[in-house]
Amino acid sequence: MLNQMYDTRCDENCARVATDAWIVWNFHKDTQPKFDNDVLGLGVMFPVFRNVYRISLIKKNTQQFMKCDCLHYERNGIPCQHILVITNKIEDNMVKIQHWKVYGTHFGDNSEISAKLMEARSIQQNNESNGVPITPAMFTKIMSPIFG
Amino acid sequence: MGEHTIHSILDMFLLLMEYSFPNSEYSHDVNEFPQLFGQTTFNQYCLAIHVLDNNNMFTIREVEEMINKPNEEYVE
Repeated sequence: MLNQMYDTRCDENCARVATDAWIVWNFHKDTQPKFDNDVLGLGVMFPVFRNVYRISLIKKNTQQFMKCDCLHYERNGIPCQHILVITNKIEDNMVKIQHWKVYGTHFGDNSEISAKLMEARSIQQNNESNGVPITPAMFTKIMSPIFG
Repeated sequence: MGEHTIHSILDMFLLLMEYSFPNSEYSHDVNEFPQLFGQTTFNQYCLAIHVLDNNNMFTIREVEEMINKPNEEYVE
């Protein structure tokens, strides 16, 4: 799923509209649903809306976040293609800790790594509504005018 | 209070805001943005802003029509 997000980011159009805001859209993606037994051809009348997504940069204490209108990260725990257009890279901390392989194998046992995982999950919960966390290096990269 | 004084206060306020919020929308520079990336054209950007201004309420067909027949309403 993450690979698909990363690959499809190339089809998106992107414009930076302010220092801390971008808009991303794709008006050519085929999103019209296909219906079974659609004898009368009513499927083509089914309204599907085109969306332009807003991505904003949020700063909380020393941590920076990127939040997209589509809320894909909030639902699935992995960044959407709209954010990946801007970052052009996937970093470990952009994926929710529950998806890490180490989470399934070590969470809840009495190891040091389990304590670290619990701490990281707690921090993640505190920042739940802020969006995808990004590193200072990524922040510097996206703030420079020529990232693409 | 004279008009000149009000303008001076406004200028000082804007300078203060720019100094206080260097990375926020308050430092928005109209000449700097938008920055278009990749293959994005200015007409596509105008259409996207038009769609966004209308709360993403245009269907696939309506947007397709707008792409094929650009309207003066959103193309500058």
